Amino acid sequence: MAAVLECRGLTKTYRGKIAALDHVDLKLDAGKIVGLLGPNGSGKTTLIKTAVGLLKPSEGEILVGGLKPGKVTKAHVAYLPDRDFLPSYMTTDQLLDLYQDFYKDFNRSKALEMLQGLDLKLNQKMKEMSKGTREKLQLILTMSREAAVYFLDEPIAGVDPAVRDYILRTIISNYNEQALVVISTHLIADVEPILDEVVFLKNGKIALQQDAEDLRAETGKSVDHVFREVFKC
Amino acid sequence: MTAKLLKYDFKSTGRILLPLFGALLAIALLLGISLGAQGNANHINYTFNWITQISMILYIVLIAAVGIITLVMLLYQGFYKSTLGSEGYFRLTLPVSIGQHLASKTINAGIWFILASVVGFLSVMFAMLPSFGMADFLDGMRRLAAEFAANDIARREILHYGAQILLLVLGGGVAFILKAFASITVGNEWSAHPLLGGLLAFIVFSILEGILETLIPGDLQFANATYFDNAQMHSFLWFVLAIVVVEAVIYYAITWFMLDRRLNLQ
Repeated sequence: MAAVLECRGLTKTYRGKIAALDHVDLKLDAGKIVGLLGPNGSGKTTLIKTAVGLLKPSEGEILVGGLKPGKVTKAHVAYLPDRDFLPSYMTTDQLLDLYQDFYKDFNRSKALEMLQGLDLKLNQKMKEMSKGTREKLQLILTMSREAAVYFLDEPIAGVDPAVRDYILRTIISNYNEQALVVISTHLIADVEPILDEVVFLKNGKIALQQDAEDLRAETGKSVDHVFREVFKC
Repeated sequence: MTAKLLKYDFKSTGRILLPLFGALLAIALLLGISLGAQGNANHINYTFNWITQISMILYIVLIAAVGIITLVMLLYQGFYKSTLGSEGYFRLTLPVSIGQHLASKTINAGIWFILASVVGFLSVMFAMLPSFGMADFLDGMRRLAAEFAANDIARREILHYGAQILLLVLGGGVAFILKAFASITVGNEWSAHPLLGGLLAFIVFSILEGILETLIPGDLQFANATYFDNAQMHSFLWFVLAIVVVEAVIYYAITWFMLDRRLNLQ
């Protein structure tokens, strides 16, 4: 199967000095939920931002569906950044219109179905919502797309355990099963149950890439345990 | 897609600017009515005097606010925040080219520039008309139209100058906005102080513009002329307009290059 995401010697340096990504070679296939795991500053966000076209590689290349990130790939990539990224003055209803206007693969009825589970008014503005509700709404909008690739950057960081459970449930019950889902996080124990494959990033380099089930069978340990060993301070 | 982007850019800017424009026109109307009432009264009316003073102060403050806030909204909210700020994470991952983003933002800025000018003009009319009287104003307009219709040469010249001045004002406004966009994107390279970087880039661009303009032979030739007839004046205005268009194209190209080829959203 052709890789949906491919990095060839991908390097990203900031100010020409610090290498956030250091000659990364990586191939990820469709139909999997992949954990992009590493401590803060390991290069997870840089890799995702390069894949969605928000950063330009310093060296090497990154391909999504065989193409460099651009207008075409963006139509098939659903991206959830690690911050509030939608206009705060917009209401939920307006945000649904916004997604519908720009993404052909946006499924409004699916989004509305997911929103029913939240105590959220359609005319409520983003800035009037709690942090947890904003995170949920942004995730719902992202997961309501029938995308080929989902990049979820730290989707469970900074939220309480109940919201964390909601987010993980939403991801596994709503993603397109033919798609590649990349979840970056350092909270391994929480996401481990839903991962098919894990990629450990350490100082901008791939420290490990393996099927999650195989890793547990080989080591006799959980992914979380292996992570703690690899990234021991 | 550009039309869809423009719809959201317009709404984003309009939610602040439209109420502001509305407030300016309302205050101008209030000022006009109170000035008119004072003019018609044959003794000092202290209530109207008080209203006139307050509305005059508000009007001056609002005129300044409209200018400043329009500029801030177009540059900060309309460009920086929605492109290089947190909203850029959404905007720049839409399946839209950088050219379409820039077209939307430039057209949006152009529309608001025209609207702000129209609102400014209307506000002056609202403030002045009640004092002069609508009948006198309409009479003056009728006389002007009659003279305009009677004199072919004057009509042609006025229309020619009018079109050139309008194009120059609009072109100059758009070129200024594009220069600011280019400065913001270049300044963003200085990630620790992007806005300061933008200001410095703007100053550098202005200095470069000044140097380059003195190197244009045609410009020097016009500058040395002591007398302009209408034909020379029209040529001069077209020449200035051509320079403005070239500047706008250069700043557009710089902005496009910075966003398409050197984007580093951090």
